[in-house]
Amino acid sequence: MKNEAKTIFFNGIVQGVGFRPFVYKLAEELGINGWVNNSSHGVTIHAEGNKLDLFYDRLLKEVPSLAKIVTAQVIDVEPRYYKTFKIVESKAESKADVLISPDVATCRDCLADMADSNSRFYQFPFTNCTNCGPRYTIIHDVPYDRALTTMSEFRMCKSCEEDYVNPRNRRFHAQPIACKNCGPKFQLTDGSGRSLPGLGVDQLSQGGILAVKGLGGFHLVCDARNVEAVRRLRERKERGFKPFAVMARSIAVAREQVNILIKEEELLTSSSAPIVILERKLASRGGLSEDIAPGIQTLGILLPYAPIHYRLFEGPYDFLIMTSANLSGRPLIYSNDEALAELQGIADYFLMHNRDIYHPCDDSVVQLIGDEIVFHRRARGYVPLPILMSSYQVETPLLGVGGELKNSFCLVAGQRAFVSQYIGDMEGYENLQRFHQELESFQRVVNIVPSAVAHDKHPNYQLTNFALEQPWPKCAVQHHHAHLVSVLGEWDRTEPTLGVICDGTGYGDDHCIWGFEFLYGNSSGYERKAHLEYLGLPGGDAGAKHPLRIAYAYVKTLLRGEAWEKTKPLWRPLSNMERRILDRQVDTGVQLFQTSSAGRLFDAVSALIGVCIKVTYEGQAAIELESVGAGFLQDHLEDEESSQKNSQVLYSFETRVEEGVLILGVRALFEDLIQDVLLGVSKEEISYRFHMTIAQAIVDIALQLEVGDGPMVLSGGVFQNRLLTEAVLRNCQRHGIKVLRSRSLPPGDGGLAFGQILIANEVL
Amino acid sequence: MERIMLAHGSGGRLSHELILNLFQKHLGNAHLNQMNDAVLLPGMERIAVSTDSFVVSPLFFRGGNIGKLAVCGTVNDLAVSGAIPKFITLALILEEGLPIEELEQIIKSVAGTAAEAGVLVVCGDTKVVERGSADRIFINTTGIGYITDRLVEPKRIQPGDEIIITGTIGDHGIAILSEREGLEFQTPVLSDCAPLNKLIDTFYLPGVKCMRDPTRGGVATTLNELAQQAGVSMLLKEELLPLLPSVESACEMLGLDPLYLANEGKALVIVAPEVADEVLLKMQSHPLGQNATRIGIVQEGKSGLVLLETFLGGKRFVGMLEGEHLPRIC
Ligand SMILES: [Fe+3]
Ligand SMILES: [Mg+2]
Ligand SMILES: [Zn+2]
Ligand SMILES: [Zn+2]
Repeated sequence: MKNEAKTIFFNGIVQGVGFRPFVYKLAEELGINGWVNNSSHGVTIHAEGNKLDLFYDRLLKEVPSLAKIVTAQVIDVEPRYYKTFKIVESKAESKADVLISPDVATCRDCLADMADSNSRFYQFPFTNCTNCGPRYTIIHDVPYDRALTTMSEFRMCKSCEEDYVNPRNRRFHAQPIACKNCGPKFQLTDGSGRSLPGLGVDQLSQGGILAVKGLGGFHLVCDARNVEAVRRLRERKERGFKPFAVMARSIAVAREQVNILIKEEELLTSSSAPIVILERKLASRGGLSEDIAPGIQTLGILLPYAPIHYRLFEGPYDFLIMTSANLSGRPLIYSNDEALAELQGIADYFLMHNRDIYHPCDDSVVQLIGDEIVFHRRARGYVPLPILMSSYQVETPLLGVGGELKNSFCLVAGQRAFVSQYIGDMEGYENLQRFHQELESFQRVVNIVPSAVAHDKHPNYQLTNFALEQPWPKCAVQHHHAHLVSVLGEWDRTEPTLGVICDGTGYGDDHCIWGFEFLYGNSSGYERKAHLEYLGLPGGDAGAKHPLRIAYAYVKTLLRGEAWEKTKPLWRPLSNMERRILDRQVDTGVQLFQTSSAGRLFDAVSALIGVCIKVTYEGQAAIELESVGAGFLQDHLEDEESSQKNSQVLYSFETRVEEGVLILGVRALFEDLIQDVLLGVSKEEISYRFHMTIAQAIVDIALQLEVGDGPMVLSGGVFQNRLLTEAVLRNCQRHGIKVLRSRSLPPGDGGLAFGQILIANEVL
Repeated sequence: MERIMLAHGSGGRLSHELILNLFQKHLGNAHLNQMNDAVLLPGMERIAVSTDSFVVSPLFFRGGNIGKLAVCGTVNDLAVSGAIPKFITLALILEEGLPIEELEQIIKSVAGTAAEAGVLVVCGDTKVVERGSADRIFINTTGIGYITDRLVEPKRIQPGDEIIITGTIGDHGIAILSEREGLEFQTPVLSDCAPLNKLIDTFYLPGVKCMRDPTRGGVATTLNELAQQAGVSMLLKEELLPLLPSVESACEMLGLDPLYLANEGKALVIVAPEVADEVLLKMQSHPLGQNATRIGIVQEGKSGLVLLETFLGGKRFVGMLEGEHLPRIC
């Protein structure tokens, strides 16, 4: 007979996810004796019996869906001749080195409980078990134990306590366990705080706007088919044209409005339950209010993920607007008091509960691009999962503060990097306060106290000031270098690699504003191999809100004489004064910022062809441009793969070498494109050609640079553009170029902090 | 090697650091260290003194020229310090080749403005330097006045006090910029350049806690300094900021923040809330204070923190001027 006793250690997400009952049941099945317990380093199993190899194999293979084993270790030990298998109470260790699970969408079993009129969880809007429910958002501190969550306020009833200690029960050690007898409660009120019966279904049916407290914060909710309600919500929220997310009753219902691929369905129904950006079906536009996503062909859809959502869908509607409850430029609202004060006049009714949220967390937003998930916003359902590295080792615990807009920060120690949830734009003072609050509480959850800081090189970023005030060693990181290394780190690669970074703006080493960059390097450094030619951005960020002004300045700079004269009709929407001032700016350079930004190039084209000349939310001009171009693809080019056709539709561009750097020139591109505009070619076709041209230019330049046959990184916010990205991927495939993209972080500035810390780790 | 950059003279954070780390370090004394625009000299029978140098391009602009500026700047520094300006000195550095006619025009302006302010030019000096060693004309003025019983100093500022500006913001900055760069906005913007001593005489009451003229670095930088010195926080409201439509559209076109634009004829006045209405009424009765208005309040909070409540209701951090504002939208 083989050795009869082993001790097995598992580390990773192994607590609060039903891991010990799983071990217990498997041990019973295989006749194995011994014990299992939670320790500060994960789960420890002492196993005795004669099927130990099978036991271990099946442990690895059959782990509970929410569990994630990061490291496993098995050692042979002397048998102690146990008679049974037991779950041993966890030792109360001070700081556990155990990963905390993100929040998890309600599981099937819990839904069945909610539907069962004999169950004490019948219709209970806080039902959860070890396989689902709140996690990160309710945790004050580790180890993950009820007393350290916002559930500590609620005393378990007898039945809940029985379930909690019964290893055969699905709620064994489910920390947020509660039932209608002992758990939190919802209360509906009107704007004046007067209590109303029910959960707001009637009010929603009648077109009311509800502020609903969910897992990570408040949502503003209304019937998405009620045109009047949606318009009121948009007006009250002063939101311009920014699209609203829509929660669909079910995937079947969602299919009436959008096309859903298998992988997209997997995302929608995953335990992370993100908002998935999906292609709208042209035929069925009538169903939902046009005000939901004006000017674009996509819809952000999510499915119910908390018990309360299922209760809300007891009403006679199939789609609900589910938009984060925050005021323009301010952070997500997550406390009852705040909601009552700040959403007064925006929400007609308030549906609130008495379980506190500890970590405010927006819904995540993802999109399938080129068959892979791309994050637009990473928050609920994904945070605080770490990025696990084996090729990088961080000795000094580090903070990467991230960027100015769409900020997330990153804490790292050893081989784990934790990126915070999306916080918001740091130019808002309240968002900056939220950054400080979350930085403090995130440190506790991930158990990392930084002693060095990495920040962006930009001198005007709010967080540059914050970083400089810290008493620690600091490292200023170039924006696009961080974008490149962020992707390398995600793929655990360290060798120098070519990265194409297409981005809005980032502060360059030459004090110009970069944004369409070909960088070759890794965490130890980089070389700027190529970039878009510099063009003058009039008025900086103010100009970025008026993309036609950008277009005017660019075209005025690039075209002379007759070519310029011909463009006159394009500028009609600009006032005489605007044109006069822009002329002077181009001539004298006053408040004209030299930039190689890719984002501003897309903005300029968007305005030039009349798609978007005034921006009301970040990225609007480029997003609408993409939508228009994608529409052309849908309508006309089923055979897009044909390279012959592709080459016919391209605009011209040129490359030249200046001081050893390859420059992408766009004078000819603008000439061709303007020619098309003047000939009356459709916006759809021009946008499509423009996207294809940029995709071609990217690959042409990559090939010209001849930096070996390694993979190429695509990063930067512009690669959230599906039309462009998929064209680049096709071109790369054609030339045998392997591509690396972000997979667990956004390619935009949400991924910046992770790149910052890897670079700082080399320098400090 | 660290060198002097243009930003060291812009009145922003670098200017501030230069003063602390170099001038105060070597020249520091009880009077200088107050970092006030004008200083009261004890033992000199209530004499206050202030000095300033003037370099501006273009020399002539809508609403004034360098001569008028040279008188106003020094007179205003004395006046906001609570003194009554009486005399000024005038020192000129002229570049070889400057047309005498232009010089005469400038000196006429000096005379006219001095008369308006009720000060006498009592001594002067002239140096001429070779072509290229200076930009046409540089002027230094020193002002001497006497001390009144007006108690105005940052220490007196308290939470609850109100922040008043005597008129529209950023006129001088836009006037100079548009003149220099040939920018023509809807209606031309005139520099607000004016001596403020008579206006201050009109509205001063004991409830006035502190006054400053927000010149280089603008309202933002001046309030940052005051908030730091007084150990308080300040909250401005965007909707209250008085802006000429042309200044507003210039800022919107060029991506400039009016809070950082220079003013040469405006005072920021911090007053106790109980006298705010009275002070405002008196200001508005004077031609230079017609557009006087409240723009914010003094609060408890982190010392030196200045915030702006935006049109949308959120708050924005208003720091000192730091070089130019580079694009950040990613
Ligand atoms: Fe970026
Ligand atoms: Mg002065
Ligand atoms: Zn469940
Ligand atoms: Zn219970």
